[in-house]
Amino acid sequence: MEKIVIPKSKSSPEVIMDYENGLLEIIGESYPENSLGFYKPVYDWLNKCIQDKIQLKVNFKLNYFNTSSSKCVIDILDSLDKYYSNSGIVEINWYYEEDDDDMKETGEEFSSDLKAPFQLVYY
Amino acid sequence: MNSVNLYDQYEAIKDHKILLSFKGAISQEVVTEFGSMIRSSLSTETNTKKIFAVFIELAQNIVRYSVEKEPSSEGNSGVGIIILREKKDFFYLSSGNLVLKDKVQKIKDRCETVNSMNKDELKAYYQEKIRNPTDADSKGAGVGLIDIARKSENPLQCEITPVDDFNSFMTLTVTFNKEIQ
Repeated sequence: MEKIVIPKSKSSPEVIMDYENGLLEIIGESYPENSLGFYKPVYDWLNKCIQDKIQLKVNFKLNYFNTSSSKCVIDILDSLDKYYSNSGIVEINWYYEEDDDDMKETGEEFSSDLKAPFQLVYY
Repeated sequence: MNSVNLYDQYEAIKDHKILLSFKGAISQEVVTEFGSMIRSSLSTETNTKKIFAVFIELAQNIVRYSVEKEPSSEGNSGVGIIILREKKDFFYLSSGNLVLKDKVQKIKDRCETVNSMNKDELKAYYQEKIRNPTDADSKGAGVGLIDIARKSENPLQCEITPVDDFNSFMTLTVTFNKEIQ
């Protein structure tokens, strides 16, 4: 499966879906008009990877997202966690800018119920 | 041409600044443009990120839920008004739009609920609601007001004015403390 890149727009992040390397990256800002529609290809890609039982690394490198995007981020985290509980190999990295305490706290909050390996990484 | 004299308005708001004032059809395009304007005009403030985030929630609420639509406008949009004011110690972000009368009580109840909660309660409520959306009317995550209350750290003000048999006008005002740098 070829690598899929959704380029960033003013209100939506860049998304990289690299099946060969089991890598999903979401980078930038996320407040599209229709978050569910925007993240639909990401869920589809993720479900395919989970079905094929490939090893996954997911990098969130977001500096802002609205509440409807946060719902989508939580859904992605929940399905990764479920995959991990079913013995899938998962690594999640949550990047935040060094002085961005809010984004760090959001990462802590979103990961508090997760069992899958989740790392906070500053840059 | 109508001659305009702004003196009365100028006098009425003597003690504060208006950083943004818009009335009209709000689309995603408008949300994005004003969002970046807010960022640049508040770039020296410590709570720019919070004000930006609340602006996006309020403006997208108008896009999604305003009863008033402009027939000529392209794509999704809703008519509303958004004003960002600055006073000595506070910023105030207000949004106004028409809502259906039968939704008014629900919105007021929600504001009361979040206003009754402290920081930790709001955090727990957010966590609960984002995983268990219960509102069939919601087009988003259903946690907008909770998120707004968390970022504002002040009570939300919700004012309702009856307009006609079907509609009311709702004004939401969100207050932000200016942080001492």
